[in-house]
Amino acid sequence: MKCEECLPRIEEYVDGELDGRNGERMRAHLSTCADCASEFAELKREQEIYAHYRRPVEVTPAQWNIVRARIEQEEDAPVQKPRTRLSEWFISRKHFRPVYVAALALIFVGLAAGFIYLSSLNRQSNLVLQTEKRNETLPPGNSNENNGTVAVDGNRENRNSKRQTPSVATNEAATTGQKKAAAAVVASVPRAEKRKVTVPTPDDKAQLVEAVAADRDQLITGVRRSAPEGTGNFDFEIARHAERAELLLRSFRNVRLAASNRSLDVSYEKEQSRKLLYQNIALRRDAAARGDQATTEVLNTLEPILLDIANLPNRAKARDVRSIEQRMEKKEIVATLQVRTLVASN
Amino acid sequence: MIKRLAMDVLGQAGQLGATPGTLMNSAEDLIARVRSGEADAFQLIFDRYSRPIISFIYDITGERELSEELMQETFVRAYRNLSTLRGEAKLSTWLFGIAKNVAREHGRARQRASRKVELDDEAVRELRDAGLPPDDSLINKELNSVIHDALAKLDDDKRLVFSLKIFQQQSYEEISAITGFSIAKLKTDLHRARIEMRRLIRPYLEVSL
Repeated sequence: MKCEECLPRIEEYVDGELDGRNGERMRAHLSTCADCASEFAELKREQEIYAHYRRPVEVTPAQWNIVRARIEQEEDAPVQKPRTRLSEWFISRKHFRPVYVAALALIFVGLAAGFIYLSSLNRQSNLVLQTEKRNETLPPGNSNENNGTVAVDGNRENRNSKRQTPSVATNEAATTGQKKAAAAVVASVPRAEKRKVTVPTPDDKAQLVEAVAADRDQLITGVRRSAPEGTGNFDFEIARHAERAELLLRSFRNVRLAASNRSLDVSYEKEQSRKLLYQNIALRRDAAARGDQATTEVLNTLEPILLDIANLPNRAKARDVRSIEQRMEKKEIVATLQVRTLVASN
Repeated sequence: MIKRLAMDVLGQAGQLGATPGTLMNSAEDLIARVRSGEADAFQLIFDRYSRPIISFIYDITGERELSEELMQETFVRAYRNLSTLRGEAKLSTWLFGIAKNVAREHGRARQRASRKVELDDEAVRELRDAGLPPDDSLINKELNSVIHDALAKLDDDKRLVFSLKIFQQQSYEEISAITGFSIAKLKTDLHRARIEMRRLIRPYLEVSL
């Protein structure tokens, strides 16, 4: 062995890591080479120095008592799995299986779908709530669709008569444009004091919102367009409206006669009443603006009855239907409408 | 022949700081007894390996009280995970591995908490250089202090390898198993650690010997 071969491996020799043959060769070289032997002696000397190294630590029986106490405490405690970092769990070959990845992916997709579905539900609910808030300025019948019910107290007629004055004032200010007039119509409609809303399904709500909004705009715009400034045309519109209202009220009375069950199907009358209600509001205001007190009075009498019918549930109780009919008889509204139709047509 | 075997056993046990009463129990026997529920067997393991383990931890941390605490943690973890010890693994190697993990985990946590005090500070050096020529007892104290400080200046890998080889006399393969380093890396680290340690303690070699 030469020095070039000896020196790089001399530490291994000192460390006892050279096997028998290499150890023998190293020993032989060191016995003949003074430089390498000096290097070897230096390393051995350092080893001795390090062997004298004393640390200020000692093991006492107290430390074993602590260890034993901790072990006993762990044995008494319920078994807890050691905490593993999530990254280590995934990296571990034991756990990294395709089926786990697939399961996690499915869970993730499911969560994402659920989140999107809930978000869409939330958006629809917000839309309906916004619409309902907006409809608080509309007749309650407007928001009454399907199973959505609006309870109105029995003093509506008195309240309605009290609201006539601001309605007229609003209408006068609104004659400058159709848009303003429509807004005034909306703002002047009597509000229900008690509202019990049964929340329909989100899809129904969305369709309802769109249908109601479109229908309302169409009706109000149509009424305004078909109500020209000329008196003859206005009378014609009043006559048509009175005729339709008369037919509706007669149909409503016939519902009761034909029914034998406790709950009555008034869905058709309810829908028709809702449409006529908007026309009635617009025409009543126009009549008031023209100073036509007779027409205003007739329409003013008709309006709460239309409102009550519009607010009935699709399957109305016979008692409620009877109550409306009693008011119709009391006000003699069907006869009044018939007379108004005849007058206007002549 | 029998006398020679007895000497070998004594030599091995003495190397790991064995206490009387533990010589008749091999590591494999002790492990089997602990696994079978014999509580005293683990105390024998503690008695046999606690001293080298606490020394090793002290080399890494440099703090006495912390070393005691981490040594206890090492044995608690060892007891908890004794079922994972495979038959072919050497108990001392396995324990050193746990101790290394415990010490390093604590070191990382502490490193995040506060910055380590630099031993290169001028004030520290002045304090160390000042004073009268030491007598024998003072030489030993001074030497211990110098080695301690020199170890603290090594980087983590070198200190780990140096301690396991020079102080704990673990073989390269055992060090590789404990640290996870390749043989080539640990040889390189050990060589560089020796050079650095030599440079740091050389002023004291001539005085002490």
